Amino acid sequence: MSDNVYMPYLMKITDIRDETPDTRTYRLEFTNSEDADKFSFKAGQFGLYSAFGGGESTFCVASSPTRKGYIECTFRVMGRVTTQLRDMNVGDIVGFRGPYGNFFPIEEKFYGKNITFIAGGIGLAPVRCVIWNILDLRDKFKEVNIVYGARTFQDLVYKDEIKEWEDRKDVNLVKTLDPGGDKAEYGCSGWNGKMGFVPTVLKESGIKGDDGVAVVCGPPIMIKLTLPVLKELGFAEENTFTTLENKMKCGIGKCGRCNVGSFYVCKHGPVLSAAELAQLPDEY
Amino acid sequence: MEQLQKKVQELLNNKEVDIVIGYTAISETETKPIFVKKPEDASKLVFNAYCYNNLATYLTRKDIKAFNKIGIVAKGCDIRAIINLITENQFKREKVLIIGMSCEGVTDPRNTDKKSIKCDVCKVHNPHIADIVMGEKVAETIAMKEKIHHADLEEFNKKTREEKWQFWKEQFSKCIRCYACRQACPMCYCNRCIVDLNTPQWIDTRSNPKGAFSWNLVRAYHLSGRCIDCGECERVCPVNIPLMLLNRTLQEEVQRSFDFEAGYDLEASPPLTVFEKDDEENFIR
Amino acid sequence: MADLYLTHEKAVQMLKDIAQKGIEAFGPVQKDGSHLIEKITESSPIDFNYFITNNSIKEALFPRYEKILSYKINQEGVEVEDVAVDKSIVIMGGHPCDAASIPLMEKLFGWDFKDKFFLQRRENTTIITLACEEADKDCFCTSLGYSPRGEIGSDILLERVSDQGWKLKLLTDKGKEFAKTYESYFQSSLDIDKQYPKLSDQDVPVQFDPKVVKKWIDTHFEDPLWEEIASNCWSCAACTYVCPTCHCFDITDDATMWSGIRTKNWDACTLPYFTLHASQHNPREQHFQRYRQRINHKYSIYVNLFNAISCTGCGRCSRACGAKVNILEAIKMIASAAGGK
Repeated sequence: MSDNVYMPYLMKITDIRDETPDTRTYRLEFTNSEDADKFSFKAGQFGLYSAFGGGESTFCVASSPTRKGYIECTFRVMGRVTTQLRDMNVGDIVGFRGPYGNFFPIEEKFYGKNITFIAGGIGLAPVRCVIWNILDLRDKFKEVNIVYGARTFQDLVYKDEIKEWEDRKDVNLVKTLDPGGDKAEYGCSGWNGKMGFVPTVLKESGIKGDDGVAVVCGPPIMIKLTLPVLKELGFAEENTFTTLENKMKCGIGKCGRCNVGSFYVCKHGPVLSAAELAQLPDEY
Repeated sequence: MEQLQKKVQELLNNKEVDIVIGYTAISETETKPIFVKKPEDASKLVFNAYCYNNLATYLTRKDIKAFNKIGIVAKGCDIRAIINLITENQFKREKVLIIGMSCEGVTDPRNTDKKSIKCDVCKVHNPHIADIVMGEKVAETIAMKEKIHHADLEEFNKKTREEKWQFWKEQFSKCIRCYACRQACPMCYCNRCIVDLNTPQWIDTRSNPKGAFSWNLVRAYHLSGRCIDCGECERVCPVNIPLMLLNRTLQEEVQRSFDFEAGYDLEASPPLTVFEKDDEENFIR
Repeated sequence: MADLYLTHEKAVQMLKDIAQKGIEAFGPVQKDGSHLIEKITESSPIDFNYFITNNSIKEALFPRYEKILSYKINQEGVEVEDVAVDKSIVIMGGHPCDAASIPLMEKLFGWDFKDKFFLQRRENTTIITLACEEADKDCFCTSLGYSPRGEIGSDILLERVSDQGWKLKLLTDKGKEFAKTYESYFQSSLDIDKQYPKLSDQDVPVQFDPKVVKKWIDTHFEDPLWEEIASNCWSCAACTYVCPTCHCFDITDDATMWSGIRTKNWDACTLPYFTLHASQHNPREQHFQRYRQRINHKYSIYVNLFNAISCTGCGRCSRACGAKVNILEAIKMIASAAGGK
């Protein structure tokens, strides 16, 4: 690697999965095996992915650090770079700069606790890396609960993995769709999950916060409504974690774009506890 | 000045307007925009030859648009801007209360011993459309009777084509892409400027030759037939690029081709913003 | 070392000669009624008769746009090429408020990830600063602990002794080396005009206490005073781009099907879409929120991160502002609201 902090690794796309009509997951492997050997990351970190010619875009690393040899990213097609990324095929080259940012304090705070994941829509992507990280080391944790919902059946990501988690005896999965989200036009041929908004379903789930850690991610409105519910259920603010998705550009604390208060999301985040979030000015 | 202060105090007291945009003094030879909401603040208002800002640019700012009725202290050139904004449907005539100021002219901001050259060609020293008119009527000038060309353009047009190219290469190399020209201009009110779009990236955002030429020329074109010659873009440019040479060239071209000048008539729209079936130009059919 | 003096004439020649050698020379030029710091070429209209340049010296070390890598795309994949940062740079014509900005920017560009584009350039740069002989109502370097005769960040300080030229003050090893390399341009004496130096710290009185200002900023995020301070602001980037310490940037690609470059370009937190998310949510939708961010970042956030205020009191932002937002007036309004001066 050169001394140029803006120089990306070159990664080859080895697998493509369409999660929803506008969301894809790419599996990326290093083209240079030396880079692959030296690379490691922790759950929660993110990277800048390059579509050469289009530019760079920020996504979390959606795969678990326990799985070596590749990283995965899930993105929704929203603009210039993601449109170009979507038009790529297996074998094409994507740039990757990272891992940047901080990570979920799994060793310090999650070991030996009940872990509850709450996610909405594509917000499952940054949480998924933690879920697999924990499931790959299952016996280090007590209960594992996952509450996941989306607006419609079509908007659910990682549908195969949701089935896997549902079938596992050591995971309590509660899936939900917004009222009306189970219609046939959304590709749904029978829904055996709940119907209702994620914060409501969480409230009624019977999950308790004692001896627990919560990880929340989703649209800002969902997070805003979920945090009070978690508090009610007994989760301490220092044990409730979320990941911020501010606009980022350099990823390394230089360009100023992700700065909120004294917080640079790319350096002090993107993972932060609900206690830390409450101290930030309302500018994210 | 006192007359103005009293009138504005009255307007605010009677709640005839919710806010008045005017000028206040920084020093004897410098003024700045001020937003007066309380009647007692009306005493801060001034009007003199150093009132450069075209306050109409604030009429399209979101927080100002939220007010029901806005009073605005306006020179003739500023009124042209307000009229043009109304013909472009940015707000209804009833939304603004135009306090037209008779104006002999402002000084050249870069050399306050001289008058600004825009004032030599001005036809509206006496406000042409206003709800209230203040100040002493200005005597008729030549420009009010005959067509006079801008002094800077007259001089510039003496250059050869090659000289003009070199001139602009030199000038645009200074452009730092701060968009002060765009923000000062009352006619630049697009929610999402073309330069802020990136799918595709129509205009290079860098401060390089390609970017600077594209930006300045596109802005000039988007203003053709709409520019009301306030010269604010040129005043606020931190690196002194003579932007009005571009805008005045296009003003004259539109005048020649369509016999139109923006901001004089509430019923007329800039020719490049409307299309009628009986337009002479038939390339679109 | 014996006293050294430099005349305007020799300075002009020196800068042009340096530029010919393949070294990047930056100096003050007079164009269209104002002075700017620009890269010097043979035909540059270099001139030293000015109070202050419209822009700062930052573009020598932090260019308006610069290539950070290039790439080729072909059937086999993508080849990426690094960019070397090895040119020597000489900057002349800034004031102490300009030179003082360099150590400030070093803190950010060296924060954990070392940005070689700034840091290596800085290593290869010699900074020659003109001590101030004039100040206006927008200057406030002394309120931040700087001085019109300050030496922070400079390798050589030029102290004016007459209308013809300056006396050199060699401040660093780099400065001494420069004086030796270019000794043919300097002379050992110059007719002194007793009216110089005209300006001292006392002539730029301190106008506020930055600690008081920071405390207010930290505890009054939602205060309506911000709307008042920024009422005229129309959200361009003039203040940001002429400022010696503002350093926000964008990274963009410019490419054809088969090759392209990636560049770092100046950007500004004052521009409307700086914080626009892909979801179209904009946390700083209103003009005063953006102006608040600029002040907050300079006077509080930077202090929290690096124990330094990201402002040197040069006043360029106030002078450049077409909407007449004045940073000194803004800070004084805050200081007065905080109940102290």
